[in-house]
Amino acid sequence: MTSTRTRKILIAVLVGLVLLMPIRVDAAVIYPVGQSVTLAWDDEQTDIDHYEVVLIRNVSGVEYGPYVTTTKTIVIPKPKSGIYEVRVRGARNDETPLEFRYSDYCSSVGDTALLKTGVVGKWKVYFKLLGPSGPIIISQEENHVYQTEDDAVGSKS
Amino acid sequence: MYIKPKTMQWGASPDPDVMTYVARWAIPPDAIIYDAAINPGYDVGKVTQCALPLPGMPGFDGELTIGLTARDDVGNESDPVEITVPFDFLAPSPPTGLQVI
Repeated sequence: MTSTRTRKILIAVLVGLVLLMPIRVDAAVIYPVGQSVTLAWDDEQTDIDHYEVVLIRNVSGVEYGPYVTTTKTIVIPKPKSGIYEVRVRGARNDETPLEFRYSDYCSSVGDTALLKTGVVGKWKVYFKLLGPSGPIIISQEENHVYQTEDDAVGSKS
Repeated sequence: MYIKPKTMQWGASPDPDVMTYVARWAIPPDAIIYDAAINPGYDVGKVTQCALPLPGMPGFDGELTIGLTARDDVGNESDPVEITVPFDFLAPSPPTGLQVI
């Protein structure tokens, strides 16, 4: 009897713990882009020397950059096809020439990232891979040729 | 049994990141499934032509839709190009009743 009651209490505690656990959502909006992407960010500081942007490629984890700009916007050409997290940080020159102090990174999958709609949300960019070009042609010696342009031209081979 | 092969040709992707091309197929009116987790397709290599039928293609006589995508080093795939054409991948039945007369 006691063990049944104890079991019920334990189950209730476990259920309560599960319900109270924070839900971790890693989903990010994927923005397909062409051969370049234009990025912008906010910063109220006026003493920033320049910003450095890096792209972190999905799967391989390879970092591309830094891409440097003195403004709060930058156009980055496609480094390689794939999905990328974007990070930007500010650099301030502290008296000694060419020695900088860097801020933490602001990440596109961080808590302060904004979607295109202006609302807070995580995102990544997808530099699409260019597909095969031209029509597909299927041929057989001494026979008819089919190609995609006219969608199956000719008779059955 | 001998199935006379056909040749499928296409133009190379202008993207320098292409590592290989992947072919998938479906029998109309079914659409080709391009989800690599569900339908990995057949990796034809970094080429611009290959012989048909590909391994795994159905041995049948009828229309077949073939889709071709480019794939990069981490598995990203391009938009596909497709063609639907009639194929005959069935060899005729062998003769029977062979005898000396």
